[in-house]
Amino acid sequence: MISCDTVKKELSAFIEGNLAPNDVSLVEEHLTSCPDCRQVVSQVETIMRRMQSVSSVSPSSDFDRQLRDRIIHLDHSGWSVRWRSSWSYGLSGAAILVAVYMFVSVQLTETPVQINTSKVPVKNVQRTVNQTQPAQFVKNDETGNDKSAPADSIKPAKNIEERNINLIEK
Amino acid sequence: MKPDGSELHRGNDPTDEELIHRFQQGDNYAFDILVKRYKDPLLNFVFRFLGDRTEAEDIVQETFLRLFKNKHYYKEIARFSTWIYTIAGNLAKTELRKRRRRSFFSISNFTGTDKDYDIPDLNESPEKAANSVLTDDIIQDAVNKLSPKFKEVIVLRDMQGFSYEEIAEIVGIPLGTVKSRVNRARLKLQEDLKDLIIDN
Repeated sequence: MISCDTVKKELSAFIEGNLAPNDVSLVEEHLTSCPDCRQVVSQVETIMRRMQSVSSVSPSSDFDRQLRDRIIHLDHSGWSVRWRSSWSYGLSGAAILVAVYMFVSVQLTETPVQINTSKVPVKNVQRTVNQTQPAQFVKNDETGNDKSAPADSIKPAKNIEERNINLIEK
Repeated sequence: MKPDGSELHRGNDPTDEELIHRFQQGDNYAFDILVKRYKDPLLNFVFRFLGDRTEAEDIVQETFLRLFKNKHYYKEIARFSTWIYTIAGNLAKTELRKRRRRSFFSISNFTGTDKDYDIPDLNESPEKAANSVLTDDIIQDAVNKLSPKFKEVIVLRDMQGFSYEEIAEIVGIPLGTVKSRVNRARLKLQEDLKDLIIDN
């Protein structure tokens, strides 16, 4: 005789009449001697009938109007307002995160560079920063816009390190 | 419950496939007929799947919007009914996933259902008694407890009346898997509701 598990496995096929005749006989034979499985079959049949008769719902009275409005408001990309808004929230969030990440990473990388490139004691750092102005004079002088720069600062500094070294030497 | 526009010419009514073809050619009136034909069955399918009327209506509208925008994606290899149900089912599953994320920390997860269960009148006929005990709400609650993969197939099979072959096409899984899932879903429902069912 087949087991209860086998009967349960073939339950739907048995109820819906999709079992081969031999298998039907085996299930029926089991059911005559197994009240538990008989109860399961009976209850599943009841639930199936009940599910078929569940009352149906109808669309709201302004369903067609709402649909028409949403079709009118479809944009050229084909996204409706509902799905476009969820995407736009996501994209905006991603853009903000990228901007914050870039800002933080720039801050973190810039600060040590200033300290390292100055190569001067801490007390001279402020002076070094403040006296980068002659480099600007050099630039202006090269373009002919400013002739008031001191003669010793006319020589263009190649980079910030060289400028700082010049200043320290002075 | 499911529309039968694919198989039958209801009088002089055009089939679904004829309508979508006309719509693809620019006949918007054909779209209106398809909406009229499918809004009820799709709403019932999505409502039984999600358990929320407002969300279900929104999903059905979104389904028709997808149809409107993507009409040319439909190829006559598939039946229109399975195609439109696939769209609605996918949108409903996406909504379920969103809902699960939203309710992850929600206190509502920790509160049980506060529905009262009516005591059956034993003098009624067994069928009538089953209907009065297993109310629509109780059936819906039991369906809601199923995982989405079981819920989808049982709603399509026992509430919408689709064949196993059609369900396999809609859900995109093998026929054997559909049969197995439907069987297991029925057993889960029986396990959940057995104390409420009076044996005939």
